[in-house]
Amino acid sequence: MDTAAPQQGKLFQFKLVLLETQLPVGLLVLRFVKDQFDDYRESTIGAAFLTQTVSLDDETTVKFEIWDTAGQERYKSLAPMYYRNANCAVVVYDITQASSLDKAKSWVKELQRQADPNIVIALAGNKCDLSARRVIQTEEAQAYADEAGLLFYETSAKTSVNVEELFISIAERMPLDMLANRQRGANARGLDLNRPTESGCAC
Amino acid sequence: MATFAACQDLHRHPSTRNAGLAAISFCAKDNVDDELHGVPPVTSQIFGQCQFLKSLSHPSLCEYLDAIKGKRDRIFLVQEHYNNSLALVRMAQDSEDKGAALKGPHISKIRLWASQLVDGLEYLNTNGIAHRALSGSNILLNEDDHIKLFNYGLYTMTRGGSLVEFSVGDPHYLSPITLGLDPMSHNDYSADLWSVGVILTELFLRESFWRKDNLDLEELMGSLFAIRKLSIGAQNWIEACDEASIGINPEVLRFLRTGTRESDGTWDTPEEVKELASFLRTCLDVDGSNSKEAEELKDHTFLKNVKIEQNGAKGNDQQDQHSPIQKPIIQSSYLVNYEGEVDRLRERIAQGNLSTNSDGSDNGGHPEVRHKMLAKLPLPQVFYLWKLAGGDVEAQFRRDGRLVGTPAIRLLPKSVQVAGTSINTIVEDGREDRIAPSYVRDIADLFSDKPCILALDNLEAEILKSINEPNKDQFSWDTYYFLMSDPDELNFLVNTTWDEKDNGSAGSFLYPDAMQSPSGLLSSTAAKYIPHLSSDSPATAAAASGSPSKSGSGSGTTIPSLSQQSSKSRVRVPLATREKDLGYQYQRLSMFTDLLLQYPTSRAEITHHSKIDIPPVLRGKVWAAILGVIGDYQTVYDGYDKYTEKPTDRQIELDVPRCHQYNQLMFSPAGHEKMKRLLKCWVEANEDQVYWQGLDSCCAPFLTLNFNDEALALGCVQLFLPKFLRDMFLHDNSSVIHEYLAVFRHLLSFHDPELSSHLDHIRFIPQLYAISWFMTLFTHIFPLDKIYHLWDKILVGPGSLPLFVGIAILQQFRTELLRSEFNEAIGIFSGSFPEMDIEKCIESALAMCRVTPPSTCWLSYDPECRKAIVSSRKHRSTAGEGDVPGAADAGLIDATESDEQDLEKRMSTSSTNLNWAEAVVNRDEEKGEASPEPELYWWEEPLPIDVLNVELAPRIHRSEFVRMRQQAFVIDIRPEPDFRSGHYPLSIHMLVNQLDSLVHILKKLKKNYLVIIANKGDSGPEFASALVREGFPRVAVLMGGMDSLRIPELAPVLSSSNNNTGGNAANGNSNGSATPASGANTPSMTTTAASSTVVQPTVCTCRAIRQVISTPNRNKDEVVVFKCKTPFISKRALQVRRGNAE
Repeated sequence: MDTAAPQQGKLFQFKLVLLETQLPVGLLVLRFVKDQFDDYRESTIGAAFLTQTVSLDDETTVKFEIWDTAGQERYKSLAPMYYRNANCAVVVYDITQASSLDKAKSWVKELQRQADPNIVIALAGNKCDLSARRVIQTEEAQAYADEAGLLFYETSAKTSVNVEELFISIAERMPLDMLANRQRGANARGLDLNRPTESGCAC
Repeated sequence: MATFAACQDLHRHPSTRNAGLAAISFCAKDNVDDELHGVPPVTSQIFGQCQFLKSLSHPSLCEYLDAIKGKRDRIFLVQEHYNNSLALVRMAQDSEDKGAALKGPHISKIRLWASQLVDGLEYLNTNGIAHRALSGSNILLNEDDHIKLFNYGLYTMTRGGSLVEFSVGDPHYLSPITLGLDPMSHNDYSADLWSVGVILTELFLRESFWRKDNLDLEELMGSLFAIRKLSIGAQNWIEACDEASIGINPEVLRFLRTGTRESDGTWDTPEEVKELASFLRTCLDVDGSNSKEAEELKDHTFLKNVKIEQNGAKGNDQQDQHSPIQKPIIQSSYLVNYEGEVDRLRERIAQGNLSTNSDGSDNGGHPEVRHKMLAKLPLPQVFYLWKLAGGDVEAQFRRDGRLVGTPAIRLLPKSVQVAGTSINTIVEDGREDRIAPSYVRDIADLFSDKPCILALDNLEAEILKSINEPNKDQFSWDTYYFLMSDPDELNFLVNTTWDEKDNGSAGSFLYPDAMQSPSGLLSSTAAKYIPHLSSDSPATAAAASGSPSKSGSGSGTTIPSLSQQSSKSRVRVPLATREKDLGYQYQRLSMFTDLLLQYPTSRAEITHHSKIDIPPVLRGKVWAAILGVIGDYQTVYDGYDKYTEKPTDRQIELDVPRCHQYNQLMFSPAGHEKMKRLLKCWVEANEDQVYWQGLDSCCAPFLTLNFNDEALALGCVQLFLPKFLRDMFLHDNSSVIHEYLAVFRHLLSFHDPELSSHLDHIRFIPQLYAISWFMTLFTHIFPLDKIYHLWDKILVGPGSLPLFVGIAILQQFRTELLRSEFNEAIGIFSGSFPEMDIEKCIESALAMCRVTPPSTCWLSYDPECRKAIVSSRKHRSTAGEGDVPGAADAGLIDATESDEQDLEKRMSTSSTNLNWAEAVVNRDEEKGEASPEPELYWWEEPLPIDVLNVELAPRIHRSEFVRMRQQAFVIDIRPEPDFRSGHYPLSIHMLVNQLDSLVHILKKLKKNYLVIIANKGDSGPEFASALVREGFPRVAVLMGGMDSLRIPELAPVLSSSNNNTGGNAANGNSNGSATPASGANTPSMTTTAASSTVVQPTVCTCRAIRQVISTPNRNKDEVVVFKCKTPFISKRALQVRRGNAE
């Protein structure tokens, strides 16, 4: 994966939020960003932040700011903070856990209702290396993804199957013509008394 | 009684007074292949399992002191050790002339040994351990010829030998029952009794049990199988076996059959010998189906007399009879000796007399005790000091030529496996080994029975040398670590009402050090060398400080002298150096051991000394003492269901194997099991709260420190969480977290406005990075070694300290952060912080904490915060508290009760005010304080989270405003009419829109604090935020503005002379009504000014302010003067003044 952005090409920057319904958290993103798989990685509390760039072609580089949210259901209440302003989201479920797809579906619903209306959502069925323990069939998930208009991949953080493909196809789906430098609010709150801090009195 | 403070780690059993240290070493099986499939490495399995052995204590056992993981799957086990052993006794027998008069052990000695062996084995058995490796060489004898079993854990920790590549046990003493059986199926000690039988037979008969000592291994096995076969068929192999075919020494067999021996010229009566033979027959009985019960054997006629004999002969070993011995093993006289030792040590040092063997008079019948200082120390501490003195077990093995090993070059594979070929073999050291193609094990010395002695000969001299080093007085600086403050600064940790109910940390920072107390001062140079030596500190310090109820004032008097201590003359010794310093650690150990023995009475004392540092070996116990774990926590723990499946189990199962896995204990399978049990217990014990990810990290420090005492770990967690992570683990904790983070943001603005406004500007809000900091109190971002040091201080600090630690962390990255945009900033905090200097971090956190008014850290969900207000309003005399045991007595139960209250309180979050008062009242009623609680004023009510999130600056309470008024610059931004109708005398008036023109003037003012007074609902907080953005540090808004200053109770708080006329003004909120206050104190309000002495300064002050502001720049003058030109004196005040004059 080409991590160095070409100088003359266009650099697009997107905020990506990773919502997982199944643990271990963050392994998918770790595989994507660092090409590592570590069973012993500490759990995510609150959220973890990572960045990764993908080159689509010589001209175009996409930089993802990835928010990896905590895996535990309880931390769900914090999620809106992270998916606010997100351009894309990856909702991960575990193909070996029957309930995880339902939870993924509820995430998708919440995103479609609460998040940016133009958000690109991808559904990832993780742990496809454990096909022997599979309980959620590919067809079932695919059908749901088609119906809800999601990108869909079955991935494995452990063996890195489809991980990069997932992120590249998200990048391709993004409206690249729109300048991706999303503005961060400089809107001052409350009483506007903002002024440059370096102003000092000479006297 | 708190048991953690009285167990073996703090005491030394008298029978071990001359114990040495020794280590054995072995290599674990190599399971590289299995590890790929998720099986933990064998070394970790063994390492985890052998931790438990450290908790065993019995007079017949050599204590396990430590387990160390070496290189290449090697494990070192350090144990108590004695030079004499039954093997040596046997060898001595053999070397004696056979024809000479029999000097073999008296039969009563055999009887004693047999009884001690059975005791020890029974104790092991009740703890689920079978020795399985008994031989003469690992049955040691102390100087009283008492049995001390050695290396008894090998079989258990290697899971029946299945985790190592050598066989455990000496075949000559191997029981036939064990042959061909699943290693772990026979966990009882019948197999060990066989070995006992063989060993004792040999000792008594002075003959080898087997036909000849070098019986071929194959023959031996043949004989064992033959015995086994016989015992399955017939009932007694001894009778049934064929003398010729079986490999047993004929003389032995005859003795076992007849109970007589050939050369019977001894002092033993035939009856005794017969009894012995019968006993041995029982031991050697190989009945595969039912194992021998301990009682059966103990009731054997041979052992029946043993108690009477022992009691008669050996008065000093009486406690051996309490079998199995439970911790603690303690004699009251022992303590006295211990203290005496410290005194003697001190004297000796004072005299410069360092000879280690001065007098042997006070040893009470044990004149041959070798190391006087060490003899009293518990063995784990001796081992710890040995390491501090430069000892290294692995190096010791190498020095002894034990780990010669194979040169690395020879470990390279001699042939390379070509795909498809079969196993390679190499011949090395005469042994044929299967090897993996890429990895060759150094098989040298997989296991050796021979212990490696860790010499203690020079340790005592080293300690004394270290204590007496010339620059040792540097260490005493650390006494002032917490008390140090700039004379120009306030110290809110001194003499506040904050947290006054907690005795430990209340006096806390104002607590005068023992050395500073009058009695401490008289001690000469010796005291300097031994700053905290224990024997006098409990007494003097208790006298000096006592509990606040006794002498709260005494402590206050010593503060000035402390703060005047010049810091420049002393160099502070870094913590790392202190922890490595042998002499210092010896003293600290002695002192903390002493203090812990007196826990819980000594709790305040322990807390005080812990502020300096905590000796690493005692950390687990000291933490428990600071937290106040008390009562029968073991029973509490046992009462919790750790096994029923719960919905949270899945999450716990997933989190535990990822929690602090770099740590050997946490990584071991035993550690995983313990952590799961601990978390399940916590879930069960706290039904109002739930398991959040992160709780595992919080528990890790307590578990690793109390690895063999899960109950204590739970007890600590149960007291720790309510104090420092209050309500963080409620099912819905978002309001708690968000408020905590809002307060954090305010405090950051307070101390580092530039950083705060920058982070605010780039939208780098604490929610994005700090949740894991505070949810886990930094355990999620720091490794455990750093956490220990950080928590050492957090535990003894105020509950708000973690917030300041968070600021200190941010400040260590200050320059990078100020340069960063959002992405870079978040990048800094997405990893861990390997470079973080914890000591520096703590130091700056404390520095900030000291100068911060505690009311800025108030949390709406923490009743303790508001309680401080209420208690400040009450008469001081009632503020006294019960002493520690009383307060902490409730222990675990108290914590859960208050949690329930909180839950109730949280149920109705809407009408907070009423509930607040109730909660406070309830808590006080529990404590038996009858005085009614005043209601909270409107400004004391918690603010909604939205309001907090918008504001940048914190708010302070008037009680603290009063304290800092001398160092504060007060800006009044109310509309002018309000200002005219009454204002705080030292305040200046300013309108919000004048900030631009006045900023540069304000910057010239060198005041420590900026306090804003505004009307309710006015733009005070916004104005304060604007000041923060301008870079003003320590900006705060006064809670309630003028309203809070008008209430009647202020007078007693303001003045120490306390002429409170309060009460006549029914309601402080009555606006503008002048309250006649008779107090003749300078700082008071103009509105309440009733006497001439008050009015006069008011006028002057206004003028002074005008000068201050106008002097720097004349042309700005009019702005200010305009605001201040009408110094306000109420007509009524003037009248009163006239009246007074007349």
